[in-house]
Amino acid sequence: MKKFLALMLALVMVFALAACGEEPAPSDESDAPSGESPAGEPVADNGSITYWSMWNSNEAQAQVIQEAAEAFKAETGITVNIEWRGRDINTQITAALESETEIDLFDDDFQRVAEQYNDHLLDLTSLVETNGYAEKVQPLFLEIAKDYSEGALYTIPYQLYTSGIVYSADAFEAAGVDPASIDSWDGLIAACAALKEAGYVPFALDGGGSPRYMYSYFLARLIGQDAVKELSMNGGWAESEGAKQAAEYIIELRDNGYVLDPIGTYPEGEYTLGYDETAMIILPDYVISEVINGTGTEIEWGFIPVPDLGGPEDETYANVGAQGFGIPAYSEKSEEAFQFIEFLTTGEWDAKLAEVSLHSPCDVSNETTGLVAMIQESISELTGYYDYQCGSNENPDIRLNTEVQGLFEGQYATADEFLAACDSRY
Amino acid sequence: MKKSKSMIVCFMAAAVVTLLFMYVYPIIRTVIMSFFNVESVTASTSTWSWAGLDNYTKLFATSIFRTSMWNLLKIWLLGGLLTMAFALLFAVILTSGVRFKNFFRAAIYLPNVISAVAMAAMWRYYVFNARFGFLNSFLEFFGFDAVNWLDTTHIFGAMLVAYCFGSVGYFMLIFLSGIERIPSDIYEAAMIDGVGAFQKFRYITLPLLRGVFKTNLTFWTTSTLTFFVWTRMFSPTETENTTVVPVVYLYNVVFGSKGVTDVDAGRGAAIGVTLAIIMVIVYVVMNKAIKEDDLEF
Repeated sequence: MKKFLALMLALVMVFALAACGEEPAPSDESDAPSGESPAGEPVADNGSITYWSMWNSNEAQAQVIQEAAEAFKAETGITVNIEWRGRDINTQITAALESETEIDLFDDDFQRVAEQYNDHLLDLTSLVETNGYAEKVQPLFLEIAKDYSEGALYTIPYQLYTSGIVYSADAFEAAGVDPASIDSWDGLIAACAALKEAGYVPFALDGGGSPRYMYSYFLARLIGQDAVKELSMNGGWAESEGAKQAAEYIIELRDNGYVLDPIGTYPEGEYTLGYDETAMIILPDYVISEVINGTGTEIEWGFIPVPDLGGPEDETYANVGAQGFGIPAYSEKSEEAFQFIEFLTTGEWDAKLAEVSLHSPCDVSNETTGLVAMIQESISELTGYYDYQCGSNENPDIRLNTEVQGLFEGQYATADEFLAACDSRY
Repeated sequence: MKKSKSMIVCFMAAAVVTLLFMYVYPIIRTVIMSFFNVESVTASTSTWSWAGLDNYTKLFATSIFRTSMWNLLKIWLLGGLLTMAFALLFAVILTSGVRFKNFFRAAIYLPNVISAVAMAAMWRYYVFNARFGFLNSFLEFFGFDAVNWLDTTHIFGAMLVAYCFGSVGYFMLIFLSGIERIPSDIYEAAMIDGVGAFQKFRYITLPLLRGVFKTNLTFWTTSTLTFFVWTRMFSPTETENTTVVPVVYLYNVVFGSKGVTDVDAGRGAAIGVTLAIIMVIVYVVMNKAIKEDDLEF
C-alpha cells in the first residue's frame, strides 16, 4: 500500500511539473462561419498550417492578421493556427527550428530572418517564381532580402518602412517652410532658422538612439555606407574628413539651438512632435505611429528624404526595413504557408495592414492616400538602401551611442574632441 | 517511523531528476560550450568546433565587455555601500524601540514586492523625467536649475540610485533579523556600564553582525551579477556604454540586437562562466576576510 501511495505521489509530482509549462494562447476561434466561403458555399477542409507570429494578440496588426486568416480559411479551406509569440520570438525561434517544432511559417525582423535563421529555412525563390509573386510587390525589398542571404530568398518582407525627415506639416506651414527647399545642407539650416523663428525647436531627439541615427545618416550621406562600415569596424574616426564634417554639422545644429535640449528620454523626446513643440525628426517612419499612439496628436504629418550632402549616395538611398515571413525547410505545408503569405501581403489585406501600421503596402498595385502614399512614393523612388544606423552598427562590439549623444549634449566643444573620444573605444 | 528505501527513492526521485536536468546539465553544457564555437544555444553538438580559450580572449579584448565589467564593479561597490549603509541604518533605527516599527518595516520593504519593471518605469517617468519629474520640480521649487538626470552624464547614477532604493528593504530585513538575534542582556549590561548608543553599535552590534554581513554581501553579489532589467529599462532601445552590464551584453551576443544578426552562443557561455567564477572568487575572499563568528550568543 505504501509503495502504491509513493508511486502515486511521484506521478502527481511529475504531472505537476509538466503542467508548469505554459503554452501561448492560441488564436481566438473564428467568428466567421466555419467551412463556408464568403458566398456562403461550403468549403472543403484542406488541413491547417501553424503560424508563429511576432505580434501580440492585442496589437492592431494582429487583429488584421487574425481577420485575414479567417478570410483565408473561407477562401481556401486551410485553417491558420496562429500562436501570438510577441517580440520575444527572437529568443524562441532558433531552438524551435533546430528541434523541428511544428511551425509552417513565422515572422520577425526581415534582416534577422534572412541572416540569422536561414540555415533552417526554405529558399523561397522557386515559390516566388512559380506564383509570379515578384511582379506584384515592391522589388527593392526582395532584392535586399536576397542581398542578406547571398542571392537566396529566405524571407518575404512585409510592413515596409523607410526613413528620413519625418516632419509636422503644421509646424512647417506655421513657419512658412516649403519641404522641397530642404534639398541641401543650406536648405536644411534655412528651414531650421525659420522654424526656430516660429517658436519651434526644429529637431526632436530622444535618448533611444535617434542622435546616433541622425549623425550616422549625415555621415553616410557624406562618405557612403561602406566607408561608415569601415570606420565602425576599424576606427580611425579622427582621420576621417567626413566624420569631422558630420560632427561639425551636429555642432552647428546644437549651437544654434536647432535640436531639442535637453534631449528627451525615449520615447518622450519624440513625443515633443505630438505636443507641437518640435518640428521634425530623422528616424524610420514608424516614429509616426509611436507619437500618435503616445500623445493622441492629430497634427498633419509629412515625410521627405534626408538631403543629398554631396557624397556618393544621394537622397535616393535610405535606411529601410520590414518584418519578414520565413518558412522552415522541414515544413510539409510550405506551399500552403506561401499561399497565406501571398494572401496577406497582396491585395486587400496588405492594404489593411498598411492602413493600421502607417507603413507602405507591399503590393505595388495597392493605391494609398495621404502620409502612407508619401512613404510609398518615397520607397518606390529608392535606388539603394542603408542598414540600420547606416553602417555604424557594423561592429557590434563598439557602440558609440554615448559619444554621439554627448556631442548633441555639448560635452565636446569641437569635432576633434568628439572624434578622439570615438577612437578611444577601439 | 520505519524507513523504507523505496519510499526515500520515490520521494527524492523527482527532486534529483529535476536538479540533474535543470541545473547540473545546463551548467556542465555551458562550461563546455564556452570552449567551442557555437552559433546558437540549442545547436547540435555535431556543429560545434573547438575554440580553446578564444572565446575568453576575444571577450576580454572587447571594448564593450570591459565597459560592462567596469559598470558592474561600480554597481557592486558604490551600490553596495549605499544599499548596505541604508539597510543597516534602517535596521538599527527599527530595533531601537521606535514607534510604528511594523509600519516602517513594511513601508521600507514595499519596493521589493513591486515588479522591477514597474519600479524602473516609475523612476524614469515620475522622478527623473526632465520635463515633469518630481526631482526637477523639487529643485525648481527651491530655486535651483533643473538637471537632465537621464543624459549621458547622469543616467548611470540615476539608475544606480533607483536600483538601490528597490534593494534596501530586502537587506534591511536580514540585518533586522540579525540584530534581533543579539541577546538584549548584552545591551542591558552595556547600558549599566554607561555605554552610549554609538559605542553600543560600534562595539556590540557591528561585531555580532559579521555573519549577517557575509550573507548580505553574498546575496548582493548574486543580485548585481544578474543585473539586467534596470539596464533594459533605462536604455530601452539600444545598448549604451553608460548602462551596459555583462548580462545585457550576453543577451545581445546570444540573441542578437537591433540591426545586429551575428550571434555567438560560445562567447555568451564564456560570459556566463566568467560571471560564475567572479561569484566564486568573491565568496572565497569574503570567507577569508570575514571570519566566522567566534562568539556564541
